[in-house]
Amino acid sequence: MPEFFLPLLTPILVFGAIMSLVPMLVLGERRIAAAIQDRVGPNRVGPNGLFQPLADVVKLLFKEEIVPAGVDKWMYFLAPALAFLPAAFAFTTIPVGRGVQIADLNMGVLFAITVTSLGVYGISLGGWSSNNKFALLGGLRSNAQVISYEICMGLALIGVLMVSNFFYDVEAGQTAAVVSSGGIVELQSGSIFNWNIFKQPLGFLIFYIAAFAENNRLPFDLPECEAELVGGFHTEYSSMKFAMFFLGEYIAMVTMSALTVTLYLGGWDPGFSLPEGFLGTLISIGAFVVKVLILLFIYIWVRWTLPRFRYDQLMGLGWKVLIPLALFNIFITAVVCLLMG
Amino acid sequence: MTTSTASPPETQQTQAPTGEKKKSTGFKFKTYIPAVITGLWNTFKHILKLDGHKTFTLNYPEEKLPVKKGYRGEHRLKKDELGREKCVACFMCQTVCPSVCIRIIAEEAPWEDRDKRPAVFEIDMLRCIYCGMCEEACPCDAIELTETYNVVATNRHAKVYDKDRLLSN
Amino acid sequence: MSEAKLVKFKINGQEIEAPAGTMVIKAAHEAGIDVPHFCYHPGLTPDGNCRMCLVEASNARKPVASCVTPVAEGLEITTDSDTVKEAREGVLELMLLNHPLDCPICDKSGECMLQDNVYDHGPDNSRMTEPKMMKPTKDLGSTVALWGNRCIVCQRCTRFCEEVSGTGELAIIHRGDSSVVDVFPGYPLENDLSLNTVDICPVGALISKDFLYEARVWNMKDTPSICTGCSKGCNVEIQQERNQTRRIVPRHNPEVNDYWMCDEGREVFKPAVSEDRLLDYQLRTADGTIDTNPKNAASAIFNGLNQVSANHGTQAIAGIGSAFMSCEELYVFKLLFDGLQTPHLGAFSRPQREAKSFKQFEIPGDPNPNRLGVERILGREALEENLEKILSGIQNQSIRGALIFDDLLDWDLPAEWQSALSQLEFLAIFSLRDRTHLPQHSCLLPATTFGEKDGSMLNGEGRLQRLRIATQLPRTIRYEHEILQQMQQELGMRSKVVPPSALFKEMGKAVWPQLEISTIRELGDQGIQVESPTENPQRATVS
Repeated sequence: MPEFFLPLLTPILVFGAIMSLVPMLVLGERRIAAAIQDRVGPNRVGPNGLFQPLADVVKLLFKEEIVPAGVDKWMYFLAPALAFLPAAFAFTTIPVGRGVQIADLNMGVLFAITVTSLGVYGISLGGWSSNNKFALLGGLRSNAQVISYEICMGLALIGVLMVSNFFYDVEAGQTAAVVSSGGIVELQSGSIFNWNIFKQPLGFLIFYIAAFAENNRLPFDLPECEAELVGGFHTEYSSMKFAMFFLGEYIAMVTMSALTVTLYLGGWDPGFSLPEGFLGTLISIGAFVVKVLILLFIYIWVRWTLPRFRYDQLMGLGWKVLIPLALFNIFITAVVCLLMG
Repeated sequence: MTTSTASPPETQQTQAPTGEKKKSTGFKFKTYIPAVITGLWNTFKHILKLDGHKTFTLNYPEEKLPVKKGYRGEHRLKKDELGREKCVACFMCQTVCPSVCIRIIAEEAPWEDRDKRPAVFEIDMLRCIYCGMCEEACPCDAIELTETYNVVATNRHAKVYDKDRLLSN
Repeated sequence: MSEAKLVKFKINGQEIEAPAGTMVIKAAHEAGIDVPHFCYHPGLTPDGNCRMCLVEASNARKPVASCVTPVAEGLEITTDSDTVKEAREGVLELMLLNHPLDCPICDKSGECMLQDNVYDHGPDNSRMTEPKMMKPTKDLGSTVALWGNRCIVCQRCTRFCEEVSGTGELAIIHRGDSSVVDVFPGYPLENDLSLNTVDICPVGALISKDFLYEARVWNMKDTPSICTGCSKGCNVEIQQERNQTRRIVPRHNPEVNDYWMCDEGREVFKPAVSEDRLLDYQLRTADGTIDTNPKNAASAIFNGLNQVSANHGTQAIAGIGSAFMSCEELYVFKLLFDGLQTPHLGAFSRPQREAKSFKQFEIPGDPNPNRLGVERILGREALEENLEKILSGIQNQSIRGALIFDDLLDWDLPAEWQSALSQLEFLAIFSLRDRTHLPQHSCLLPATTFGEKDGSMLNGEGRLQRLRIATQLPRTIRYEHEILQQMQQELGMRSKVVPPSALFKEMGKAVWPQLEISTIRELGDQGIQVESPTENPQRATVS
């Protein structure tokens, strides 16, 4: 394969894969939810309901586009795009296989964290511009929630960076700090015990919980909780604009899972030494996909198991439990690094 | 789990110091983690259909629940041995019908053995609440509710069943 | 009858006063005490054959039939003792021996006295095991059919034919449990009161062939009103189901029709439900098109008449009402044409026929329900002289525009009128039938008829009686008095359209100022005698 096309091919393949993964994810969620509730789930369209996502998409495309009177049109139309794009952006820095990465930025992890946080703009703008009190409340909750959990997510990340740089220093004798996602994965490769989850178990837990909150997934789906806020921030959205929010949420899920895999679960590392060449790349991609799918399954599994947090419980968990724990994690990591270094 | 049944304030006020109860206010209760894991395991058993869990949904058009005895579906006007309707247009069903969905116009019967028969007998199936009172009121056992329940129509007029439709039901 | 002496006696311990000679059952009914009965009818002589009205009397050892027992001073009657109850049960069991249980297909069920009495007083089962008697089912005449099986031989119908109609067609034939009512071969039940036998039959033995299987009686709603078939103005109940009149039955009014009415009167509702009834407005506009909007009716007529009076003077228009219009309509009609300043005001009426006299019932010769009202409101000359003047006026072209009412039942415009009306420049007709064969009409308007309008009529004996609305008008039709009032509005004579009750107030002051009738409600169900009878026919009286 000519080297020239690779930079172009990778983004197309990766985004194509994500975009087709999302509908399947929706179907998967519905089937798993059904299984948990002892139902069948969608099984009519196509073999075993496989074409259900297609039907859903077509339905959403052909639904009537309703723009309620009194909305702030400019922001109303902007919000779905804002909800969808950042999550997709963040994926650019994720190494999906050995040497398969759209852009290996040298501060890739920070970029990913930053860009995923931008997703909240879409939600809060959607809530604000809808001119609807439920939507506004949803947007506000989303703001507060993302800000709170962003902090513990960042603090958990510090632990990963400390560990990475500590070992980097020791083993390779280099002094440059590693903040690139590719680098972090490289460091975890080789053996399953190199994965950061074993070095940072507490950090992993905090990060993963924060990821749930970041994605507005149950048990933290307060921005759109149906029982109190009708539909939350997307109450006034219909048709394709609603689909964009939907898409954004699921892509954010994929991105967050990919980020978690990258940071804690060894990224594309299958846990054994890869053969050289194309085969090795394929195996690495496969390993990455399997890990991401497992994390996505956990997302769905948790959603259909746990009830929603109360708002004060959500805030209490974020500020009074996770942040102190993350600080404690940094402290321990620092102590260990100091002792070993 | 037993831990999740009692609410924390109550437990603290009433039985705070006793050793056994302390477990519910301790690590296990406060972190939620054991409860969360128990819950996840519980739902996982449903996914794998362990512990005798099974799917309850019927794939409706292919699989059907057997109709129970005494089920009240669409009406039928019965015929006698000669193939004539048994109905004598006494208006009892129309009178007793709580949803006023029966319309009858009587006429003189052309037969020797009875005086009266319905010229028009219509039931508006969309108004009908399938209570079966007509069946109970009928002095001639001429109307009954069958086990048919899944007949659809594409317009409202098609759901107003006339005498021939009811006789062939 | 001279003033009868009042007698004091007791029923079930209750002190009651009644004139001497009154039968116990009547006194009990007037006191609100229920005594079940079949053969007793207040309009007929008591017969005492059904034994249903047995009561215990202090002056008899065995129970006595209360319909033939006159009250006596100090008499003590018991209607609720065990003996009486047992007697009733026995009577009813015997009556049910041969009575078929075909209530579901019997037209009488719902208003059947046997049904009611068995429910209230009857035994809970029958000891009859033998097959029931079979009796004939046949036509007694052109109006009444007989279901012999159902007959309980109460002889109400035979007494009616003897005492009220005096024709005596019906009789009881055979003996014992074979006895049944029947007519003599070759002499069918053909008199003008025959359907009253159906009304008084306590069971479904006599059935009206016209009403046969038309409706179940419990589905019908009753409205008290009066018959508009002739000048007698019999009080009736209009019975309608789903806004369609099904039947007319007489209502008791001792001053007018007692308990009876004629067979012809029972058909007065037919034009309202007939298929060739005119339902659409056909208003010919200036450019020749036909407007059907009822809202434009008043202005179309008004403009047409105005045009004529502008071209030929106000004398060139005429108004012809009818003797079938209510007093209120006539009153508005009169005011309107006074406002149009024309003296040509007439009224159509059906021609006089031969009066029919029965033993206790009189069918008058005047077949117009409100002829007297026309005389009082439009003037006595409206019916004859004015009509002739208008006819000749039309023929010599001095009258060029007219508004006429053609709402008379079973009546068509005479030939000379038809040809005369075709010469008019403008013609508006309120009609019941579709008169498109009159090509010259300018405006054809549907008229309202029996059972549809509220108002009052003055019968041939000067009794003002109330008409009530039993069925709502067909959706396309509006009341004549509304259209007439709207024309008054165009003249500036009236500020708003008012209901007939308000018109009645205006009319009462204008037409009968000496009477103090303020509202139409005061007419009540029985009407008010506003004038002394013009003639003095032998009225039906209870002997």
